[in-house]
Amino acid sequence: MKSLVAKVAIISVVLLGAAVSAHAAGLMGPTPEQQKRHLELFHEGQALWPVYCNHCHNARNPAEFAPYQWDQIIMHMRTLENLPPEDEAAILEYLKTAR
Amino acid sequence: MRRTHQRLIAGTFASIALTVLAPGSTRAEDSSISKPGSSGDPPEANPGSYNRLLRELQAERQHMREVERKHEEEEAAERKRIDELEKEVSAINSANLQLQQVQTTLQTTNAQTEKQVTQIQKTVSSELGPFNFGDRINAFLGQHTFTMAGDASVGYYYDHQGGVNDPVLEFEINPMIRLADWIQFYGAIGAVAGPGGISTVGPTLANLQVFPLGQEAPLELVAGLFDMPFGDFYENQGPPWVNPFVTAPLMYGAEAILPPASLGLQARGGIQWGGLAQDVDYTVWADSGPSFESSPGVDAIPAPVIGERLNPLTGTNIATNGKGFGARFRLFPVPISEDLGRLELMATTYNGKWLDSLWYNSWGVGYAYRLGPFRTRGEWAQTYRQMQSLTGAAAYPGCCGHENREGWYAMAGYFLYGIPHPYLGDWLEPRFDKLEFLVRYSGVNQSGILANDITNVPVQGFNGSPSVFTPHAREVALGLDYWFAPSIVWQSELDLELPSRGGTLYNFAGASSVPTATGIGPTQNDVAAMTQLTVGF
Repeated sequence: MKSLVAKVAIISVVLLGAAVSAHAAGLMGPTPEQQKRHLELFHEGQALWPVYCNHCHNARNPAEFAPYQWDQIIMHMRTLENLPPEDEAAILEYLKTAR
Repeated sequence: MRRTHQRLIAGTFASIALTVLAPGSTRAEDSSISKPGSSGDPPEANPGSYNRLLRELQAERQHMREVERKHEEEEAAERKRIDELEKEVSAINSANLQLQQVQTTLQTTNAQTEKQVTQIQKTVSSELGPFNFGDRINAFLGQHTFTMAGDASVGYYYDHQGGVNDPVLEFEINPMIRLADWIQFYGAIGAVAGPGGISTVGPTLANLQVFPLGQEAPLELVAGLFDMPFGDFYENQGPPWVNPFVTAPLMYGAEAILPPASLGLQARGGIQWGGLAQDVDYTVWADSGPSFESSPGVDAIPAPVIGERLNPLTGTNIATNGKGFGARFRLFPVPISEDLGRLELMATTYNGKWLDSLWYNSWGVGYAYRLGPFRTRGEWAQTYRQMQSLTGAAAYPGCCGHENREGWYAMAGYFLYGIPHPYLGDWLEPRFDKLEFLVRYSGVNQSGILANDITNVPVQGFNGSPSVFTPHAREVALGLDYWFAPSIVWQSELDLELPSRGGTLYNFAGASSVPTATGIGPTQNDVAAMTQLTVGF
């Protein structure tokens, strides 16, 4: 019984902590509007990715890097290629989602 | 219980038997009651009647035994059922007690958890400070992330005139540290190895990429040591896995007419002015100015001279007493919806003092285009360098006035996947698709060349041909690339060095600070071959 209570207590604390963290980070899940926006960005990035990347080098596979790495690499690529902000966001959305 | 019932039944039967078998008393009383003449005839006491009564009594006894047995069975079943119900009630009571205990425990745990959360919130709030100051700072600075990119290449170079027959190696790593959404550090450090030895190179780049107005604004600042944003080559085509050739075009390679890197501040950005991918972008910058190998702090040669090499790194540790300013604009006129590929048109200028009040001016135009398996790009640039006015012993032929240089290149490549080839079979076809044929023509015009700069020691990107060092260098490069992956390529290149005509050869002989000037014709033609495996990561 004690072990059961302990497990329940631990799980409760963990879930509560996660909920607080998620709420704090605004990660409670995308709204339908956000999902629609993500989908639009994804399709736009899907079209732009080969055009922009192949202009200078072969387009890299989205699976080559983790999402946080794409954040950095695309930030650097934006610097080199002077990508318009909205196009950078679309390509980043595509790369992170497609991987 | 059963014994009691048996006694009761036995007693009952005994009473009945005595009643029935005592005719002398009861019957006498009955006879006395039922006297003749009152209500009817008295019963006759005969053996048949007794036998009948006995049978009735036995039947009655049997019946009562049956009733008693059934009663006992029913009683036993009820008692059993009662026992079961008692057990169930006991179990329910026990479970209820346990549930109450669990509920009490959960309430206690929940209260403790709430207390802990409250405590954590208090702690976080106290650490964040008043008005969520810490939270705002965290949102501003974000979380640091680190990524390492880079490239490595190993190749083998051959050059006929230079007697080159050597392996070369190069690697570069590019650390990227993203401090927040609006700021990132980018660096480059590497090494080269070849017949000239092993040397570390770097940091060749070290800059901060800053978005002062946020990611949504088309403004970025780049501060630090950066690739010169003149044209496209230094910034975008420099890495070996990006440049489809082993060597760089002459105007950006062995006979560079523009500085490859600079120390300063850039402002840059791009906007979409039409359809998707129909963009225009700008890059403006200020830096510490161009410098040459004679510049103070470098002193690779004793005095400025026509034809001397630009320093590979502009401005660092060099007191040129001048600043440089540049601007580049690029236009991408074709929208993606037209499905006509991507076309880039650009113009760049870079100007500054290379020594005290002496100007260095440059400008150039270029294009790039890619459609499916076909790609091409080219640039043309011209530079003007104001020279010192020398008199007396310091003067040398052609010393004064100015020095003009001109460079260009045009390249084209075609991936063979664009050619229908259904006859090759399953094994050969995918390998055939990864081949790319390339051709490039590049040249540099200048009035003189410095003998001290001529070398036949190859390094990655330079084939070691002495025929490159001529006032009117021309080079045809033929390439065949096999792309294992988008960033892994086996490159093979054949260079034909075809100098067009001569000029002046300057030379600092011995310890002299005044160069000699000699008229020369075109150097000999030359041929070089290179093969190289390059990996970008």
